[in-house]
Amino acid sequence: MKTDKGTPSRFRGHHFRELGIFISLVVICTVTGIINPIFFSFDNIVDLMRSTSFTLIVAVGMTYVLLSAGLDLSVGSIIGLSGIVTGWALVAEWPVFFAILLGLGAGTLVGLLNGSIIVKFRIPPLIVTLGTMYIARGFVYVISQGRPFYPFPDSFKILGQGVILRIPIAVYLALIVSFIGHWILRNTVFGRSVFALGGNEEASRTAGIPTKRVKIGIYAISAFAASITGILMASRLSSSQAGAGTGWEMTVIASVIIGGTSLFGGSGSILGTAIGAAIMTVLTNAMVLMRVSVFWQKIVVGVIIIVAVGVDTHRRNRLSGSRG
Amino acid sequence: MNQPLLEMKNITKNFPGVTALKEVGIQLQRGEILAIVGENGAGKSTLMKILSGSYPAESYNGDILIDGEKKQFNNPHDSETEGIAMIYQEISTHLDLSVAENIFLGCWPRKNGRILWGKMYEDSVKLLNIAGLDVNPRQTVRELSTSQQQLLCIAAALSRNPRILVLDEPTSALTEKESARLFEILHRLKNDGIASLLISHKLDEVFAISDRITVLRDGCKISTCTISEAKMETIVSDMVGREISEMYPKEEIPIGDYFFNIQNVTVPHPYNPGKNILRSVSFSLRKGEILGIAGLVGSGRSELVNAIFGNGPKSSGKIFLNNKLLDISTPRDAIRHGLALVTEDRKVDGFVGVLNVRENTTLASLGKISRRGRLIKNSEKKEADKWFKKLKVKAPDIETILDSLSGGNQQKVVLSKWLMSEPQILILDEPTRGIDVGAKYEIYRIMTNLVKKGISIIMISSELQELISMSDRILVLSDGVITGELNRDETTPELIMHYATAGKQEEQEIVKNV
Repeated sequence: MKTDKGTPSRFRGHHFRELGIFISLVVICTVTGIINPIFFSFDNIVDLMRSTSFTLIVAVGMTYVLLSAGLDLSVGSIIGLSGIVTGWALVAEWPVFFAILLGLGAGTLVGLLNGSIIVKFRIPPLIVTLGTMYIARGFVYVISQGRPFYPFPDSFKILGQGVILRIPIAVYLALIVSFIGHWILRNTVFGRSVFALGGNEEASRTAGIPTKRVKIGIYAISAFAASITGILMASRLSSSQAGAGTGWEMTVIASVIIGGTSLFGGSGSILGTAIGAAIMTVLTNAMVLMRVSVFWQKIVVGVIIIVAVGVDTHRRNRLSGSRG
Repeated sequence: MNQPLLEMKNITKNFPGVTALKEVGIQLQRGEILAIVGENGAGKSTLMKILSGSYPAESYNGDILIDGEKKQFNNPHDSETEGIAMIYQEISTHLDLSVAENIFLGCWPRKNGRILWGKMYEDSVKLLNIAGLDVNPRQTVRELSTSQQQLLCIAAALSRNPRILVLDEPTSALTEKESARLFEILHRLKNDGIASLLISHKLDEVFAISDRITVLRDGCKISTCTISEAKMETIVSDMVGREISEMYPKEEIPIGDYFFNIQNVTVPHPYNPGKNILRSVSFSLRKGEILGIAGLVGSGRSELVNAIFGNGPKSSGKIFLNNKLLDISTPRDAIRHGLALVTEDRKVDGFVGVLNVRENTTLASLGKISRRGRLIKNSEKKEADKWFKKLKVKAPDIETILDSLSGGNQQKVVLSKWLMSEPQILILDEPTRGIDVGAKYEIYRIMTNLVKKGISIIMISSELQELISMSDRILVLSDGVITGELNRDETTPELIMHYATAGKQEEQEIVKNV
């Protein structure tokens, strides 16, 4: 059979999918902008980009987890843990670089623990990360005794507060993380293994994919990404708060799902996740600007999550039911 | 006149870009068994889905008439109401429910919203008897073997008092003995006036049981003939659209020395911790040899090859390659040592359905298309394309998702994957299950080409004809031990069956002596 050589069919499908949510994003922006022109003000846009960056960095890691048909509920607590550990080190007058390294290390350790327990004891990811969510948050309170750590040196505050060409440094960081995340997924053996694992773990194992190692890697990546955001948040607020990141796991999972990554694993993309994260942020901002009551905002977000997943499931069913 | 029980008239069904059925018509009389044969993708399943109501009436053109009356099936319930019961190739049972609950799923006998458990168990026993299944209706289905579950599906279909029974590859999970039993049941039902539509790849079965045969090819009806005027060769050439001079392209080629030894492999029983499903099995393999492994379901055939491949548990046993002891604890180890395994159930662990042909083909050889962990896209494409063409996979291109391919083409991709890994020893567990004649022939051809290159093949198969025709030597497993070894020139189906049932008799004798 003859087919056009340029774009492989799967990529065509993917682009279409991402185009769909991208159009939704544009529509939300346009409508909000028309109702309240403040939306398109430079300050608002910079604000949006910064908030999106914080979510996006965690969501890039979560994309790996969901692609592998897993789940990571501990990211919110990891945000808290890396922030607190870094804060503790800064207050103890560690050099900034090593303080950050310590924070990243502490957070990533939780990820390694997640992966190892899931692999060794075959406990579902939902349970394991639910457990480590409490454990990590517990350590946050043990370390901080409930009090915030501050003040921080200016060289640390630059990360979350500095700008280059009027754009926050955090935005550049998020772009770099997304790009690397995308590149690994599409261009490495590890990335391919993530897709295969999520699509069919048994078949991947039989084909010689070291599924255990890949899984541990996936949860480590997710935790590492969350740790970055934890440190950025501490830097942004000039202090480490014990409650930082609480509830973030749900926002992040929602972003990834709205971005078209399947909860059943095996299909999705970082580009989708980026658009999904933007939608989550813009939506909240739009509702504030349109004076939608705070009480209603959550309801709208909930509806959108269900609609997004509904569209994905419908699409899947149509695809798999099309041959007899 | 002779009003047919069921008539499907001028059925045309289009999918985006493909015509799955073109003006196909069939007629079914009371008490008749009509076989529908054809390669995968010929439109058999589509026709069945139309009959079962899975495709609603407005999605296709043409009419369905029952007793001469036009019917509209918009969902599976509609067709069930008209007395049509479906038995699918893929067994769908609820593992944690009891046997009786599975039989009466959705139409449990009830009164005032309460389920009449007593009546349900009583009726179950009757239906189980008809289906020839000797199990307790209170047992959970998880404890049943695959073939028992298939028979359970048949009992469930019978509970609906059907007038028309539609069976889609019903014997693919059954042993020959159980298949014979199933056909006995069909015969009995036929005498009661129940008509059956049988879809099967196994032509010998079709000839043994059906009254008429209809051949479909590429969505068109090619021929229909009564069993008395049907000839195997004509049916096969109608199916594939060309002559297949010989079904089994076996060539006698010189066989090398023994180089792969299995010593005392023991595998624990998956459900019964006190028992071993495989007890101290040893054998050797020669270079360029096709070694067949025969045995009934539950004899430990699959467990043996999975244990060798590191894909399943193994409590003891040693594997030697060229007199070197191998340490294989995962499939990854096995692949490194030049082994490849086409597993029994490709859906479970054969391929990744959401990934495309290219990604599946290279999955076991990612090292070959990467440098320091980085994929080299061009060489991946080239490799995938090479195997795609070599094995003649029928798909638009290598970017097609595996889930959308037919069983035979999925199997070819699974084979591509293992051939790309360049194995010394290729293990095939039921390699032709559920695939069409054309694809089967191509798989045999590939096997012959491989042994010519000095690759050795271990093949498990329930189809005795295939096993006998392709193997140089056959090991027969029964109840976890090797009970017979047959060379090519001495093999007969009877001899294999004799050894395959030997272990059981011995054990019974032992029990008696105790």
